Amino acid sequence: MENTVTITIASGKGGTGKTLVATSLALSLPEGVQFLDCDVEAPNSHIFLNPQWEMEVPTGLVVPRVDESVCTACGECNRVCEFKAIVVIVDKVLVFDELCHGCGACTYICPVDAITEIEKPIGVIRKGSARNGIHFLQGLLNIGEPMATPIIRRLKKEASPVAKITLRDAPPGTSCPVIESVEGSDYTILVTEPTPFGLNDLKLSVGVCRELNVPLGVIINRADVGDAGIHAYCREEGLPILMEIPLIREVAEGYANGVPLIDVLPQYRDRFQELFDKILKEVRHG
Amino acid sequence: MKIAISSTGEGLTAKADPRFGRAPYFVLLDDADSDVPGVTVLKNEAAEAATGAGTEAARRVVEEGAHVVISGSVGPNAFQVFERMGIPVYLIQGDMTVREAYERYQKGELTRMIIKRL
Repeated sequence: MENTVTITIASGKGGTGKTLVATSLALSLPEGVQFLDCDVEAPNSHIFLNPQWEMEVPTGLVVPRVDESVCTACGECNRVCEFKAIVVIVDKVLVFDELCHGCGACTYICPVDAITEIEKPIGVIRKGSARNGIHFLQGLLNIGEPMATPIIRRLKKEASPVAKITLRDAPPGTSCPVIESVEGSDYTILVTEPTPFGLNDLKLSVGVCRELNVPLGVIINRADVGDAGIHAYCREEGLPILMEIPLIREVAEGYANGVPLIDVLPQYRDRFQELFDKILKEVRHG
Repeated sequence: MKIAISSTGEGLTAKADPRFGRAPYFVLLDDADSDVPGVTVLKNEAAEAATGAGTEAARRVVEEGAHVVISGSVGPNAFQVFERMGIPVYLIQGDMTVREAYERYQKGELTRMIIKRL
């Protein structure tokens, strides 16, 4: 939509400050920001925004079940399955739910219609409201479930398409759940730290954003420790450094107690607003 | 009887592979009627698969007619395939050649893999 904007806060390395940035950005903007915690394996933004939960939507993955009295063990389902989650051996069919991505190819291809689909619960979507009028959504993957992506996909579907500003707090890394979180956003903020690990994982994240064709900028957290590698890299690659946050003991203490950055340092509110205006300008005018 | 051993190479002198689904080869030993086993090699096409290497490799090994599997570790999915088909899995520990793995199996020195159901 023309007058909406979706910004994803991501990072290759874990623990660099995605949630620190995402929660304070949400609290610095005008009322009514939609906030999606896409880190469905370990969501924690709610600790800082403290939403009142209003709704819980169970979320499942569609997996196949085979009627052995109809099945001819032709092996077509096994052949078509990209993930080898359905295995036909001699006259037996084995289904491995935890390998299944729920694509439905086996059901489609089965020549004798022996396969039906059931929805296996793998997690929930929670909705609520938090201070500053934040419309808060969180995905939560059940413990032991291996696949986070279907929950994130559902979380995005449950989000309001007309919210003016949507922020997505992404999971760490560069794998499928991150790609799902970044995909479809107008801009991605990559949070990093000035260490060799931070730089290595930033490079990987930049690769992901470029592949997905999503414009990006960098925030350096704990900017006054470590080395100058991030600056050199950003200069070489022409990446904007949107903000640098020094290592401040009070911020770390607040964070450990669930207090957002801007509650500890209210002067950051203006800086986050400026950052948002800059992003908006780039998104609108390229 | 046919025995499948996960292997890093294509014959009896190759090092046995402690992995199952990601092993590049399976050496199949058929000692049905003689003291000298017949050796065939199965290339594991699933070794490079993003996911499902274990189940696909297990399916191929079963399809080749293996009655016994020897490997360092077999994942829960592949193990379920063997369990369902009544094929025992025996475990090797440490470095050894395919031949040594086979000989130890014959002497009854390898532990049979079990998964306790909770």
